[in-house]
Amino acid sequence: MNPPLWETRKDDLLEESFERIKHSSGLEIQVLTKPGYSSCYALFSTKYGSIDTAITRQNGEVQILPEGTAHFLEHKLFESEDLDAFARFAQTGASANAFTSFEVTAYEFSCAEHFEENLEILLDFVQSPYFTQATVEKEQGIIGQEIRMYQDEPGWEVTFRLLRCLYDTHPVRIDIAGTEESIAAITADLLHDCYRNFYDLNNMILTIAGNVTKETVLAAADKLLKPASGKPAVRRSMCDQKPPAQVRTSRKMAVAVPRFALGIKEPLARDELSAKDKLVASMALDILAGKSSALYESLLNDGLINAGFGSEYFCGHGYACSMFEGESKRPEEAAARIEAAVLQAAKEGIGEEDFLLARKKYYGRVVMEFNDIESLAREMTESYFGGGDLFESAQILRSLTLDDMNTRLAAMFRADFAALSLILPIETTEVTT
Amino acid sequence: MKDFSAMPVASGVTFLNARADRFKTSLLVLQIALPLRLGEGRQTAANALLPYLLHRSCARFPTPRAMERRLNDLYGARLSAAVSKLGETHLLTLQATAIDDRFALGGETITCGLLELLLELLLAPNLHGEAFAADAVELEKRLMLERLESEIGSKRTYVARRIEALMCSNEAYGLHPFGEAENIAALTPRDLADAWRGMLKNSVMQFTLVSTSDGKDAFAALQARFASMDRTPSALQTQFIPTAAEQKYVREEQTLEQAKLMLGFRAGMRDAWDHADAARVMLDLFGGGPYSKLFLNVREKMSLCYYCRATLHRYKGIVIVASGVDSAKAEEAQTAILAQLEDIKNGAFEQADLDTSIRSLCDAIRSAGDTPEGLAGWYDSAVVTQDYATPEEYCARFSAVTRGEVIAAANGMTLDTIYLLDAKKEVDA
Repeated sequence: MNPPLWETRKDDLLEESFERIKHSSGLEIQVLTKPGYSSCYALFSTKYGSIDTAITRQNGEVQILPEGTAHFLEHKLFESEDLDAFARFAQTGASANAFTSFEVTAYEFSCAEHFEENLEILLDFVQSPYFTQATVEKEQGIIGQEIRMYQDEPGWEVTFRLLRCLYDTHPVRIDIAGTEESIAAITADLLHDCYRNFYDLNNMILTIAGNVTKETVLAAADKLLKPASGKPAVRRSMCDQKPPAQVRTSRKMAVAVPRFALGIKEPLARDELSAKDKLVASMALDILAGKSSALYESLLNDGLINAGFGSEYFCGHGYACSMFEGESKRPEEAAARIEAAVLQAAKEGIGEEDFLLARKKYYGRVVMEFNDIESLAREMTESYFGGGDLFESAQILRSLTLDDMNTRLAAMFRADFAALSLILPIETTEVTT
Repeated sequence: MKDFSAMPVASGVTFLNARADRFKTSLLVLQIALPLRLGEGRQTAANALLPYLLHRSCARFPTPRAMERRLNDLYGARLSAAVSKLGETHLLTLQATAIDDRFALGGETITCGLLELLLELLLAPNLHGEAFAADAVELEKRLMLERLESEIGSKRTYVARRIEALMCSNEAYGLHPFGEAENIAALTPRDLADAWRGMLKNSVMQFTLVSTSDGKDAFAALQARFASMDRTPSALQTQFIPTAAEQKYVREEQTLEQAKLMLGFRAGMRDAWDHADAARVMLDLFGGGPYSKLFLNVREKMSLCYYCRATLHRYKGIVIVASGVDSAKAEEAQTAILAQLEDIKNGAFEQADLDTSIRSLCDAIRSAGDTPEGLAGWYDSAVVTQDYATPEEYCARFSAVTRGEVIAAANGMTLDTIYLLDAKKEVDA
């Protein structure tokens, strides 16, 4: 047998490298060794998230899934016929968890000791689905409380209500955990079906960073990975070019300061934006509405925002929007000022001094990220699913020009593509300006 | 954690240097410790405002925007302020991070500017004559008042604050570290300047540097600033009440989807070292990770909640159990939580369960030094305790905890306050 072919990717200026291999089972594996670190962090992820609301089989057949199925499956995968995964990790001392996002379900552990044993547990339990109707029903109560917990979080509510305004058909509008009604329709058989279609090793990646060698990882992979079927479900095209379905929404909650989320949707011609498009959009928002901007300064001085204000370029498969979120005693006035300012800036363009400062800041933040093994493993996963690699942000920033920035800026905003979500205090009548 | 040293700079000022070549940054944390006292509301409010005020502008960068642009120019250096409690000590924190010079694309010098910037914030603030700049103070007052109001919306934070206030209503620990709204609103630029001078004279300070440097330059710079300063650091004390006098039950309502159940216990501790290791291990077994009794029984077996955790507030000697439950099942959850504690009191657990908790605690603290913030954070409480024990020393102490000590620690707990923030359902707007 030929020795496995690892490929080394390096970035000399960052003084970092990682190794990658396409394992014979079909799984992509990426390992970043951190000299001097005591611990390791491993992340085993599948390209299956809350936006995957249907199984589209390779033959084109489509099966609709209840909302929240990916997240439900994540909870249930920890169970097994004998010792569940948490109990197994308890015997090694590792800290294990999992999360489901719009596009990915991921299982993680971090540990300072017994790395090989922990990796074997991770690879084994994620590949060993065990669902029964009784355990599925038990989980409905636990997840029901998780859903309710989030419904009481104003920051969560304001964002999801905004997404429902911006997107009337794209599944990013759906709550990741679903609803108590939707998860009531989930059965053990359905979970098995989803598992078979989405947890195909060709659809997955294992990323590990920290005190680890690639040889150790490969030994565990060779021992435990089962060859994939090679027929993972296909993520369908979802790109959304329509204006927002609704321009305003509000809910009253037990809050004292109103909260707002302003979203300006970018119509997409294709499902995936390039890494450069995402990065530059995020920088543009930082220049226009970040703490060093004239807009931020005026909003702060006029009492329209507080220390919790922030912006984010929120994007993924088939969706993209600029999001401005914060608390304000005059939320509608704040949102109107922000919308007017960014639309104006998009016309006028960004100046060189602002651009150079932002580029420095972003480069520094990329460097800082290389301290943290958890964020490195997550970034390796995200960049792989996006078609790039861990070093692309640093490389893009080194050669980025003001022209790149202003070209991108011109495409980001359209006047009739904004929506506003408000959370208002119950006690008072609606705050208006 | 080798390469660590703690060096006295001046009376009540200590410099901790943690050399870590594995990181790409320098991190500098300044902790300022002051007593938190009942009946000094205005002082508490003024002290709490200080770190926020000091970090947002200074004499050289007199507006938040000017400060932020300076930070961007330092390759996105991060600067943050925070206020918290450690027992009945009021902790004011300023924290700065910047990348190592060797990663600056233009060959700039960044790292040595970090300590200078932090010292500038502390010693050369945005003063107009004898008082702080009025616009800076007004902005900070508004932000603090809104920070307080914002907690009402953040339910898990809100109930955590609320049970501390209810349980410790006659102790300084019951005070909100941000201060009370009416005291914040009444603060003047002069009050803040007085508080700033008082803080420089009376606080206990700890500078922690995590970087690739040996810390000699930083130590010399600190000595130059503090050696000649006239300082009389305050004594920092916390009242420990080992046993609950009588049980309180408080029920409040808000329009919520989920009720929050909080149980506050006295931990039976007479000070922060009184069977602290046994208490820590016992609470991990009771309500720590996903192997704990609360997780396995109240969540997994009974499906009553998504989260149910027990936390030891070691520097006050209290324990808080927090859970989010269905309103109609709050009583059932309370009974179930207390039953799990009874089990530990009665020794109804295996040595293997205890070993699991010790292993998990040790693994987690051995990993703590793998981020600069985690490494610096390990020494956070040292500003009050001057205890520089390493993670390995803690592991050895946890590993030595016996089954009998765990049972004794559980039996030392008494329930003080039950707080239920109940869900009053209302129709959506």
